[in-house]
Amino acid sequence: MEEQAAIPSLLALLLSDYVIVEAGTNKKTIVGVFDNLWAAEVPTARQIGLFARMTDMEGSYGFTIKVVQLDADDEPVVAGGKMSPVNVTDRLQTVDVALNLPMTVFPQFGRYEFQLFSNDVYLGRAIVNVCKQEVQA
Amino acid sequence: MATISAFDEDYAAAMPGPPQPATSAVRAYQPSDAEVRKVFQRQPDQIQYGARLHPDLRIVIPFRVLFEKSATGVAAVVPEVSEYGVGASRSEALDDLGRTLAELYFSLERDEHRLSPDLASVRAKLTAHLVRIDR
Repeated sequence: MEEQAAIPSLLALLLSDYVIVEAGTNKKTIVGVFDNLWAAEVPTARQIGLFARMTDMEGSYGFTIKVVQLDADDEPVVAGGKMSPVNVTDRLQTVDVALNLPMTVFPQFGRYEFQLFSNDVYLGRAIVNVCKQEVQA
Repeated sequence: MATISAFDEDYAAAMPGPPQPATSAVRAYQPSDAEVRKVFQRQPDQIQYGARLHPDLRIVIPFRVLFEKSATGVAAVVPEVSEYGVGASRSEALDDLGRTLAELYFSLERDEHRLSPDLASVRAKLTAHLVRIDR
């Protein structure tokens, strides 16, 4: 039986305007960390940068992001995607997920969660509130 | 350090109902009906839970958690040890469940030498999933 990969320890999960990965050094710059989005009307679409850092990993990992609408019946998944598997051999190593997600459509005002899964195991979430922006006359 | 910076499968965003004009400054991605059916879905009624419960504890085997509607919102239940957490959303219920499991782990550890057979069985099940982090 294939040995199960160790469950990662999630050190950070942040939503931002975008994430820059510097070529060569692999440094990340996380620009505009937020937890509220403002829109005059819905649906609204935004480009979002997602950054996650994990450690304590050994084995093969496939990561999934799900965007869940919290203020709706049954909390539907409104967006999501999977990443290519990555192999980790050094448990002390950190693994970063640094993504500039394609447009995410938020169908209504309210709370949404960006949930992170590793090999279908829930690791954590980041919440964003889509708020109504009053338009000034 | 490894960095993952791209999706393997397309990131799909779904929007219920007929497509509507985007209201933000940027043009919205308009998914096809097939994409909407694929992605706009109910969450499963169970989950493998591996989030950190406590700074001193680490999950080595994920807990199977079932979700049920409760009077206050949602209940997240671990049938294996008959523990649950509640909250307005699934994630809040999971957070509550995590605190409950951590408290249970520490209380059973503290009273390890005077547990009834039932509680000793619960402790054995918990320690199969959780380990203390050495500091």
